[in-house]
Amino acid sequence: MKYISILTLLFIASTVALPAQTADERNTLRLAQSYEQAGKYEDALRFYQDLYRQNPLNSAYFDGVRRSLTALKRYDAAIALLSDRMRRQTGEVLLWVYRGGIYLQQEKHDSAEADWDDAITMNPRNGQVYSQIADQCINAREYDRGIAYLRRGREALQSPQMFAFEIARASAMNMDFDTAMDEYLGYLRAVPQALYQIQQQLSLFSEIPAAMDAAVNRAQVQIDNHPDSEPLRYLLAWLYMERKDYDAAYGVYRALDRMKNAGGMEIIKFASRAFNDKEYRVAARAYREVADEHPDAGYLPQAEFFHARSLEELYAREGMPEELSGGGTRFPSTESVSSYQGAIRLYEEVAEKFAGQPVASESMYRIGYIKFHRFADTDGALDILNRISESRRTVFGKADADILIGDILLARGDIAGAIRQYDAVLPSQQLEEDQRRALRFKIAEAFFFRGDFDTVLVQLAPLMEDVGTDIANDALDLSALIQQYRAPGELPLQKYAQALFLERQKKNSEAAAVTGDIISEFASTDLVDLAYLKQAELQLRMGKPGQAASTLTAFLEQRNESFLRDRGLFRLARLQEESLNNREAATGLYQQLLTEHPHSPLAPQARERIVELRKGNS
Amino acid sequence: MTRLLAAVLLLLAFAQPLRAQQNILIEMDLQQTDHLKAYGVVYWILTRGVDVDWLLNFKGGSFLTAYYPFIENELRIRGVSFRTIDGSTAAQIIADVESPDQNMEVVRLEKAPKIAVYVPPNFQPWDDAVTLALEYAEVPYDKLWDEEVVQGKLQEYDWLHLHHEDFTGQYGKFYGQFSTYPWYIQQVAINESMAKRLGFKKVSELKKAVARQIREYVGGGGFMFAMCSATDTFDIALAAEHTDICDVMFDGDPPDSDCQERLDYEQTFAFENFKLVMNPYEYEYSDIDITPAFGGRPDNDYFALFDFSAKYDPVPSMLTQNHVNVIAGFLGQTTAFRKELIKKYVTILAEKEGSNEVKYIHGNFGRGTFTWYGGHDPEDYQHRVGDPPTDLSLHKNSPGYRLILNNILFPAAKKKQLKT
Repeated sequence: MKYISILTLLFIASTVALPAQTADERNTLRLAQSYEQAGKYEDALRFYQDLYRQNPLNSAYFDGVRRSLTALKRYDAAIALLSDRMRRQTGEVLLWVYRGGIYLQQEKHDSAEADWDDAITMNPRNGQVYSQIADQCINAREYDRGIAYLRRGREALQSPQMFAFEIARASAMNMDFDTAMDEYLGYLRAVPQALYQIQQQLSLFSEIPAAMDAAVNRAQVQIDNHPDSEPLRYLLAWLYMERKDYDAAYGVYRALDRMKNAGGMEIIKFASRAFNDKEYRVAARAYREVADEHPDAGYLPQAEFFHARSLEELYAREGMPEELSGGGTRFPSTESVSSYQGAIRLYEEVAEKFAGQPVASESMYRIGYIKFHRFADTDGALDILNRISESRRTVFGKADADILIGDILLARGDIAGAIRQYDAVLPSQQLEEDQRRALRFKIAEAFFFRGDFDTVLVQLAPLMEDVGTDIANDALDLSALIQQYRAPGELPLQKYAQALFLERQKKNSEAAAVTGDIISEFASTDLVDLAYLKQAELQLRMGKPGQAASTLTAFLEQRNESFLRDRGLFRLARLQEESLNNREAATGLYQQLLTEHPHSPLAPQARERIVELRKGNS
Repeated sequence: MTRLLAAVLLLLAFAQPLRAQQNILIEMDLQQTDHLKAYGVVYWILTRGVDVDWLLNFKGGSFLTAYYPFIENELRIRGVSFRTIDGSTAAQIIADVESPDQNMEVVRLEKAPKIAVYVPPNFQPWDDAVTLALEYAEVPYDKLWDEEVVQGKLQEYDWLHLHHEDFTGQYGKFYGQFSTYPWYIQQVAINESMAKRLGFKKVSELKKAVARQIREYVGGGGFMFAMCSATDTFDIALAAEHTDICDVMFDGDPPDSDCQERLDYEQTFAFENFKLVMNPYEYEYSDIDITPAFGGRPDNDYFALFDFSAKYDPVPSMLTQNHVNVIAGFLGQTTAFRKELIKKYVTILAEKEGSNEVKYIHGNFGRGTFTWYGGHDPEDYQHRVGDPPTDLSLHKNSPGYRLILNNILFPAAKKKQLKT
């Protein structure tokens, strides 16, 4: 910074001096400046001295000599130069400041302070003098001394906020974060518009835990002393959120809302940020409380809807939220799925209360989504999605609902209906290109379930062209499955597709039975390997880990030449580890995999699992 | 008599445990599945009190050890390929390696060295290839910084790695580009605070003290490995013992105008007659480093390992064991060392052929040694500030990273009488 300042001063000084210069002088000055900029101070000094000898009144030449001598650490010569000038230019206060700075470099603190005291005495109400002295100190890493001069200037000018940022910055560089924070907070009280600027300054030290701790503590103390200060509270809330303490931040926003008589708007602002930051628990609490406390507010529909959304997301991520559990206050548990039913109940309330508004159809969509994805209630989901179909026609997001209807039709076994539904959505302008590709894959899958493998391959071909897309891998997998197993006859693969279709419909026991048929009826085909693995997967999903383990054991015994054997070993090991809690057996199986299939793509995972089991983490 | 002979043979057979004469050979040529983890397993075997023979120049510098089921198991778990061989095959291999006609040698590794890494508290994951290598190879290490070094804790360790560090006190010379960035400002504040706490007026003075301590550590028998800017800045700091080379934005006062002339090259480990880069805005310390001005081209940037006599120069041989001789280059703040500035007694281990760019050097100082490697990350050609760390599971056979790991086993070697 000082470097840039020097160069700027250099430029200004040179332009000021130009009118009085001859052409020779101008050329010499440029030469001197070039040397100085290149760090060749000896050469610069020589030319500056020539110029200064010719024209001792020229301040640009004088400054050039002074800067060069300082850069060369010829402090005695610089002091002599300044002293001579000070005798002739008695009112030029900066000369005293500079000489004090050189004394400081020489660690002659008394002399430095004497010069600076003189400078201050010459013009005690000039803030620049204090600031310049402090710069000399801070650049020399004498932070305490610099801060003392800034405080002295503040007192002399009777301006309590003056130099707040300079003091704060110097204190922070000195790792004195309490003082730094007090300065920022004092300034913020006086200049509320500085909030963002102060946040920026604080974020410079956000990676130092001590800095953030001090910031929070001092903000809290200041708020205790100045309870009416809004900007202080905004800053405290921001600090809490920087530390991911959203509960504490919520407390601050509640206080702000009360103080500002904001009618809940402050809480809504907070809740929205918390929801976007995926802090669903506190977001739900904030939306609920603001809705309860302000039943006539214009934002009520959004608050109610996002309350439900927050709880739904919270349940999806963490399990049942307290509010939706049996012990909750608003939605008593009735069944095992009480939590999502609680969310549905909330959405129903929103839809009923705000009928005709966008949040009503959004809520209905969420209900349909939960009923299908969480409860496998296809009737209920279809019923509600069809009800809003008309009203959603012009609403953004209609394509999502229509795709969901297709998914539900497929889950109900109506492959033709699902394909019709997907085909109808395909031209929608609402679809992004990725969504359109995903929809094409759904269509291909539907044909696969029907056993129409040629059509599947035609549908998949364009999806596999762009390997950079998310769906390309799925398309490649499905295509490979067909190509690998449709010969010598398609019947086993059709059976397998049937099992997968039943699985999609969540008819796990029926799907498992079909895989059993494949194992017994087509024992000589390679597809049996897949059937074993799928059967074990379905059994595990049905809560029968013992049966799943038997199936996998049978697979390993019966199909010891299978190229999927490493997969069978890995799955059995996982099952022993996670469902049967037999760590020893799991470790043995992982080791068997490493011994028998050292180049398996599952080997790295097997190694990781052994390491974790050894640590006792499973 | 026949009965007696049979009884003796039977007794001899049972005197050895099952497979006792078997050995494990960890081949380090192109067949090896995970070269980097192999070093970690060897280190681990040494911690279990089992010796390992390092077969220099045999199939890329392979390792031979006695067979134990727990070793076999560990090799499988870590994904390191190996062969179980019987005693006579092992003996034949040893005989071949030790044969005077062959440029090969057996070095017995006996003790897992205790490792320290010099890392600042605000350590960033992009900063250090060695830490990445140690973590990936599962080699344990301790972290030290200025306070511990100044307090003399280095003496507790056999091997020290210097992090991508600036011992000149110029904060990596990032000022020109990053002086307003939070991480830079925090780095300055933390370093200044540490210097003050330890009684130094300037960060540069603290760093010089740290460099002196490290020099004493090496002189006393320590093994030092450094990469990137920790190499040249270490020597610069030692040379600048009696002068100030830091500009005002780094330490609050200008550098000595005659600092270049006052450099004392007698103090340095590897470099002499170098010229300092005094421009504080330029991302360079001196002319020791050769980094391509416009970023270089990975497609034509390679360096070659020197071929040493394994029997007469076992140390450089150990440090250059690899499954390839030509290795892809990589940049760093200090990419390569200018050959004409390297002291004569320093051994050049690798260089860019046909140029004056030296990549990898080794030398002795007192009773210890130093090995320096130019560049930042062997598998990330142009590693930039803020880039994510390299995922070494994608570079299991990295020849560039192998050179780093050769260094951690080198202090484990049993000192042997040279064949003169």
